[in-house]
Amino acid sequence: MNKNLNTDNLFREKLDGFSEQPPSHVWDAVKGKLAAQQRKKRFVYAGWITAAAVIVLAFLAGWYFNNYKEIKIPDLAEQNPIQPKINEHKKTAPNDKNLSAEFVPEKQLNTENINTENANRDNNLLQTAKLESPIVDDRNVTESTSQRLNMNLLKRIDALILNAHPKLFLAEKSVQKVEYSLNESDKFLIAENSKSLNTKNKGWKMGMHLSPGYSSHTAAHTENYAQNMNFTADDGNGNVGGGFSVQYKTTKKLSVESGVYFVQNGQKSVNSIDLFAANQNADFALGLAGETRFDNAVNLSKGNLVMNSTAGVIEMAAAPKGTEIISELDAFNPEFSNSLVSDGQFSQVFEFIEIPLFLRYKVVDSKFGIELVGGINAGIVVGNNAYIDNSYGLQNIGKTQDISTVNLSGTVGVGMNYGLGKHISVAVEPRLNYYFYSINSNPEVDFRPYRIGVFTGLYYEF
Amino acid sequence: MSNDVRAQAKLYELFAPKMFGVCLRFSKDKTEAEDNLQDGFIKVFKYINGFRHEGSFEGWIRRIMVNVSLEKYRKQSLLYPVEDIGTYETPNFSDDILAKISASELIEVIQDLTPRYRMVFNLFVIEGMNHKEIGKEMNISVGTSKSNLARAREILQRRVKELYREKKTNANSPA
Repeated sequence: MNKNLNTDNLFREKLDGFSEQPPSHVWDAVKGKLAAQQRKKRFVYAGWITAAAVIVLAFLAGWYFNNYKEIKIPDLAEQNPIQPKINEHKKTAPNDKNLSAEFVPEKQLNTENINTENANRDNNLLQTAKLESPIVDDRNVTESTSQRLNMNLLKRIDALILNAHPKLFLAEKSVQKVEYSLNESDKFLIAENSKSLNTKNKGWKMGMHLSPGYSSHTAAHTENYAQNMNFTADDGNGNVGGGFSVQYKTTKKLSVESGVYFVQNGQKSVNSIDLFAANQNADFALGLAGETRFDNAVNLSKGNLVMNSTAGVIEMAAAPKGTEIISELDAFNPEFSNSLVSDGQFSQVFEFIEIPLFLRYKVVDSKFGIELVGGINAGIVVGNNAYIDNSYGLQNIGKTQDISTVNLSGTVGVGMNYGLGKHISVAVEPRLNYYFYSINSNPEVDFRPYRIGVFTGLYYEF
Repeated sequence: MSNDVRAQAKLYELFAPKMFGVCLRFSKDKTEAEDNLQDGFIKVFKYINGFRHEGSFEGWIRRIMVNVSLEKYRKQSLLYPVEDIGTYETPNFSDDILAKISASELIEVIQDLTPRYRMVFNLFVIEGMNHKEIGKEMNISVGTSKSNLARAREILQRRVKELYREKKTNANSPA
């Protein structure tokens, strides 16, 4: 061990600061290559400028031909010799030079118009060409570009040399120095890896997401409420959400995120043949196996049909198409509650605008990164609809009552991202979002939606 | 000559000798070192805007030079199979050797190593990387890095001793 240290020290001491003047042809070659790169860059600039010029020309050409057509309109008048028509034409072209000539035949008037227009166009094109193609005199372009670069480079180098120069004469070498340089070399790696997305310690990141997902809920009801509800099969709902996010990196590993997301949540309900939750007092028709039916107890209240559903009470102004109401006419002592029977299925959909406040933690920080994300959302209900989907199509039957406008939910997720370039990365992030409290303020209903979504998006880091 | 080129020339003038020293250590000969120095400086000028003032500027340039050498090594590594020979004992250096041996002599000895030994030795001893980092940079295992380092050390120790002995003999022999 000691011997190794001895060898290492010998080499380190002798070699760490070792310098030798390289032959002059190396600098000549570097200079040559840099100049070649500069020429190539200039060529690319010229390419862009040409492309821009072509677009402008195409635009001008399109504009010209459009105008040309408009001027052609008087041709129609040519076939009509009536004098007032000519006067009318003059009115339509008040800027025309020919306005002063009282009796100009239509045809002549027209060609002169075109000639003038042609001349104008040629002038325009010439002027545009002068303005838009500095290729003609590329010295101007390169000089201004290189002057800008020069200023930058000189400023940097002046500052850097001041910093770096003393370090050139570091004479003291020791084992501690190695540790220092190890640490330093990591830093250089970071510095050199300027392409990597994850090197900045602070900065903004914007994202755009689409989130296909599955929504469902947990629900509980008071016995009284449940007695008037005959849902036996509730399931979730596949849907697509989306939105924008903004992240601010506070440290190398941690960032804070907010944004605006649009998400849907809801569930479908049909009655199954296994009617374990059937209310004894409800009269309804059981669906055959494989047939979807929706049958539920309803009350008649102030001319409206009122029905209990998983997420809350729904009030309908009238019975939806394709449904029937079964009612016992003995109003004083009814044996069964009124029932709404229908083929098809019932669904409830809530739409939320969510404003998140998330914390992100980078677990793997490289080109392919892994992040943990968690936080809270303010979920603002912007859509609240109930539907029956039967042989008459999807019918909006009303709203769920007592839904709170603003609700609080929590989110956890794992994000995987991949850097596509210096600024852009793609990410796939499965997230679970769960509402902490019932979104229905009715004490008899406890309805908490949750959603499992795969947030897929594009990020741009500044 | 534009200001831009003047600034580049100034920068080159300031750092080239030291960086040539780095390239020499990582190369098999002067020609390869010159090529690496040239490629390295082209990168320096290309990415100078990406330098973020984290660490010293010299360190940044040096890291680029090392990376150029590593890239070249990765491309060529298939051409140089490394034989793993058992270790053999070599005596310690005396202070005498330490005092007398020159940096150029040491560089020559390093240049004689096979590319992988040279890489591992340079990265570990002079650049201060650990075996894990070296393994990652060179696509080899930590174990391989360790054994390569041990082997490189042995070879170097032996060559330095030989060199010293030859010198001593030459010095004492009558003209």
